Amino acid sequence: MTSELDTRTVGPSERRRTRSFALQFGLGMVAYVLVLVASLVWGDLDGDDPVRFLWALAPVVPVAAVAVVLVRFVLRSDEFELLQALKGLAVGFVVTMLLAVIAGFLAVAGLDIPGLGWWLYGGGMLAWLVASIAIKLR
Amino acid sequence: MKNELKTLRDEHALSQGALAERLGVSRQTVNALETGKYDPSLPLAFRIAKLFDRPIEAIFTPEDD
Repeated sequence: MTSELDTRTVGPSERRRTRSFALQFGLGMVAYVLVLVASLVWGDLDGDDPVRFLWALAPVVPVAAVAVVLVRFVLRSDEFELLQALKGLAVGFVVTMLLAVIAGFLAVAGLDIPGLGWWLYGGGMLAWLVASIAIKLR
Repeated sequence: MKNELKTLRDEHALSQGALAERLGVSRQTVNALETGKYDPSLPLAFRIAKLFDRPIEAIFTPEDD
């Protein structure tokens, strides 16, 4: 029988920390979607106006804010969580670098990969996500 | 490394969340310690020993002992 002491309820500090992170992350993502939509609607990204580059880069601002929120959350983690996060990030980093090297050699051989940056980003993020879940479940 | 964390926690009628709160770590970390998936750093081991008023070696023992 599972004891009442074996419940998965977290303490108030951990709950506060997780809620604060979820709120800041959520707000950042909402801001990202809003700025992205604004950029696509009003940015005239196919036009000739140099201002379109500013519009194209505008979504980076909320993404950078989300990155800061993420880094702060990881840095405030305890020693075990930090170790787990580090392992996940290491796998993500290694996969991204590997993909970049593969793309680099293919480019040397004359293969042009459209949207290469997005492929590297997607591959790295996916590797990080899968590794983080696998490490957590282990 | 083996440890007596779960026994001590039960003796003190603490949930994993309550113990985590007192140690300043997450519930997941307490669970990892209890299941032997993670060995604590020396500072955390000292905090655990202080909380339960036991010497470290009474709580943590090498696997082959």
